[in-house]
Amino acid sequence: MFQNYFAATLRHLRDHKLYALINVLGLSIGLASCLLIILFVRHETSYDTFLPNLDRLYRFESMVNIPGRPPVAVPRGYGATKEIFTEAFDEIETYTIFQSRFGRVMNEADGISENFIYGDENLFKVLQLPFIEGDPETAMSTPGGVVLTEEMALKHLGEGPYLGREITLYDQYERNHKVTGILKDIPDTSHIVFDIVLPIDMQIQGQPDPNGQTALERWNGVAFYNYFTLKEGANLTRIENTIDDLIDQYFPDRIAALVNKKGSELFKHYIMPVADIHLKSPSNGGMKPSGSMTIIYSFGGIAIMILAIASINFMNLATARSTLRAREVAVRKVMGANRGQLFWQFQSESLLFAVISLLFAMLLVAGVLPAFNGFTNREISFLTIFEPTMLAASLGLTILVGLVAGIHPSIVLSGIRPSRVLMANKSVNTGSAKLRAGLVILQFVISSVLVIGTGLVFAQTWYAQNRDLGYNRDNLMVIRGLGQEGVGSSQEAFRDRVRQLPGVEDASLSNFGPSDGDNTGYSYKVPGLEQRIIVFFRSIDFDYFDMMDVDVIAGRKLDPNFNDIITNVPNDATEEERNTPTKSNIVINMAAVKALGFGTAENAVGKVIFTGDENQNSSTIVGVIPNVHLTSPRVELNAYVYMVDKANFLNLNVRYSGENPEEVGLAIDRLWQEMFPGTPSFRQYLDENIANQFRGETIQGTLLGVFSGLAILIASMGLFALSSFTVARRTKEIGLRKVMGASSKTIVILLLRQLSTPVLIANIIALPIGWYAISQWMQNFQYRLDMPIYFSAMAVAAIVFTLVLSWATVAHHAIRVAQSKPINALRYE
Amino acid sequence: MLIQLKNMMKVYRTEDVETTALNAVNIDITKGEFVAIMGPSGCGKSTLLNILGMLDTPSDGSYTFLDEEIGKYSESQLADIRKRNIGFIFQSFNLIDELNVFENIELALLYHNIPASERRDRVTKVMERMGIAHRASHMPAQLSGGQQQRVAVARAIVAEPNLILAAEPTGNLDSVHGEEVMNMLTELNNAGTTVVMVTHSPAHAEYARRVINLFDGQVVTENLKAAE
Repeated sequence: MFQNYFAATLRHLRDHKLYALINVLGLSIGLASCLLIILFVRHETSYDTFLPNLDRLYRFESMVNIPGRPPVAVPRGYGATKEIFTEAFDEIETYTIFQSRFGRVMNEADGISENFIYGDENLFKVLQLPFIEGDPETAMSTPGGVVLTEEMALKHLGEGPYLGREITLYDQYERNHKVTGILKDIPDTSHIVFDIVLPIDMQIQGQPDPNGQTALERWNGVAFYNYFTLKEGANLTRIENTIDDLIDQYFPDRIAALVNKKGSELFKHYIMPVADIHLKSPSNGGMKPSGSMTIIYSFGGIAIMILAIASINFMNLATARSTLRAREVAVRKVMGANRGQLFWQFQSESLLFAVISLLFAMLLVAGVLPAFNGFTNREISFLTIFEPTMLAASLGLTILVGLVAGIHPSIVLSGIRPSRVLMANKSVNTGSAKLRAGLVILQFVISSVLVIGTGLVFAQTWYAQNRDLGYNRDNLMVIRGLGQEGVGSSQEAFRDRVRQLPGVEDASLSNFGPSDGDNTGYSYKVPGLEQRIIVFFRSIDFDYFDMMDVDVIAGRKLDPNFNDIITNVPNDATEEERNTPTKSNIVINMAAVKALGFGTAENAVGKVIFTGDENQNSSTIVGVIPNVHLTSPRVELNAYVYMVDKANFLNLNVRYSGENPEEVGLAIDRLWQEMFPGTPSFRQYLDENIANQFRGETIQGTLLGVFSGLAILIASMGLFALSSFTVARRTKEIGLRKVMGASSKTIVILLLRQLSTPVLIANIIALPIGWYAISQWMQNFQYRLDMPIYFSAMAVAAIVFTLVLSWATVAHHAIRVAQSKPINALRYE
Repeated sequence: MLIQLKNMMKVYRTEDVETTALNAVNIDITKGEFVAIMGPSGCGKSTLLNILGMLDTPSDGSYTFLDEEIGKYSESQLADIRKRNIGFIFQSFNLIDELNVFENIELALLYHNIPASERRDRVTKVMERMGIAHRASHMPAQLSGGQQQRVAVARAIVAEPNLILAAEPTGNLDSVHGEEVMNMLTELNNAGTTVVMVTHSPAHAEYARRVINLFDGQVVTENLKAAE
């Protein structure tokens, strides 16, 4: 019996190839989009599931609340809390801390830069990563040992076995390490990125800073990852309830006084289950960028919309074309088929469509997955699709789509009354014209929302990267790495020689590049103000403002003719030297004028503010610059202080002439090699640095663009096929109109005008939806374009676009039928 | 008694127009009869045939088929009676374009729970009887009008119905092929099948033993010819 059903179906498709193509193509693209998102979701939700003790595994994270700056979540904590927490909390089974730093493997002349992890002896007891060689219990307790991933071992040592072999590493100083373990390569679905793992090194983590404290003891920053396992059956309640008090007991009063906050407020600890880190941790910038539920939801939403558009095509075309199948239905009914049998005949036809489309969809997914992986920075394997649960999910979705898209056509087709078709030879009533119109409107609503969304996402992302930041950002590059040992104190010499290079217009030194994020700040005491004020700090040389085309609005710039260079206390200074009061001259921005309470720039100039535990160090404000955005364009501009601190010349900013930037870059590299042989450098164009900061949004925009394009394409194909049908049905009407004297032109206009109404209705529905969605998305940005203006522009663009698109889609059929001789039209029936 | 219509009414209603297609029609048809229904266009012939064939339901009156009152039956109950008892032949043949000759004929057996092998045997037999066996895998579009109507007749009789309803079976055929179809119907009737036929052609009505003339939805004359 099914053979008979399918014979009719397949021959029908063979004779109506366009119809079949549009349905299969549309459903394939829709299903492929959904398969991609299913693969993506499955990837995103399977992070770290390979860790055997995952249900008892936790990480301490910190919410950093620096006054005057929005809270930032950081995935790390203190080094000092390991002992404190292990002693205080009986619930904790094993506790580990580690730090991530860049170092070099010295097998080649300059060494190759790699990511080093310095961990304690518990590291692999807590993070139970599988070992290929060596013993996880002891690998980290051997001084001078090193644990490598398989990939690292192969890269630096060649073929295995590796245990006991030596590798030369450089970080602060050069030494040999003996391999004590080889890690199986960590899957992409882990938040952990380990390459080269070393025991904590007292010559690095144990070095005292100018305040006499080591990284392991320090409370003024959160530099260590803290992970722990809970004992079986224990719970977190007591830890969560008492952790703040415990930290406050140990937190130094000196730091708390500087920020007017308790330690537990400055770095607020919270516990993150490792199972949730990838999708739910608020801290980004852990070992790898985290995932986001928002992306899953938005991407999933778009995939479902594409599938909906394709399903609507299927429904509309099937019901619109029911006349073509009417005779078949009628004859089958006369032969004794009841409505149920016919309903299922058409349902199975719809299922057949869906299953064929699934096969094409799988091919599509196989084709686009590499690009998708590249875009989303994932390593999703196509073979995952053949796992039983994934197969079940894909098939389930396909069957669901087949059934849902088929219900309406099956009801319409199985309900055809044979007496009308067979005896009277009358055309059947394809009664669902209103529903079809409604569904077409729905398709245009989706298309229009996507057009508006894509346009504004691109506009906003462009605006965020390219808006006027107040300084001259053309042709800038940043040379990083001037703080390294190999450079010594030759920063200024290097700058002066770079200035001599052909193609270099100017060069100046600073501690951070112009587009780098906020980092360190000073806590200032302002006479007359109770609270100390945090102001972020930039060290610059005397030429920096000139080079950036930044001028003061009051006072003067930092000037070599004045005593503007600040005195630094050397690391090996005595207690007395450390406490000797210093004097310095500073320039601040307008945001700092406001924050420090001076009101106007003129008022601020000449004021003296103080730093140091005893407010012993004085800083005189000699100039004020406007609110120039010399930091990351992503974040709100903070209060900034600029001073000439030669110990903090870590970057060289270079303005090149713009003709041959790559050549200038290579010349700088050669000069670097000549002056600092063996010391690595890193060069970056300013525009690249800024673009990187908006990489997430750019990816979102591109994906949105691609999927919107697909959605619109499918909707247009559907409209094209539908219009060929409706125009054909109206042949007689159009013929009569022409007999009555209508010209071809008026007929085309009539047809296009009738089409425009639903498109306009769709746009009216789409506008508020688009507004809401885009407003939500804009919250990601600190600096937003003028929404009402851009939205209006985009709305007009969407209306024009959808109208023109719909006209273009039906114009072909409309013109053809309008130009045909009326007699042909009248003979048609 | 095969069919008994009493006070059969069929009224079509649109929003403000009411059309009476059949007005108090009383007809009895016994097993083995050959009845022709005649009348001008719009007299209700097609409506009557639709109701006889259970493709349409009457507005009022009673319809007894094989001593069962079927007026209140549901669509699926009617479908069941129809497939066991009635074969249809149409003016426009109504073959399904996407199915070949064999498959079109097989349709009549498809909804009877008959195993595929038996279906094949019966379709083959009826194709041989109608002289179209060599066309089994041809599509309808590849056949002449006369051949198409033979396929339609084959489809109507393959399930061995008690009653054949023929709507203008010769309307789309030339006179030679028209006579061929009439001969086939006569043969079937001689073999015991009841035939009810709607026709415009007085010549073809001559083949029937009883002619019912309809006008404006009412039976005006019934001419019973003497048994030959």
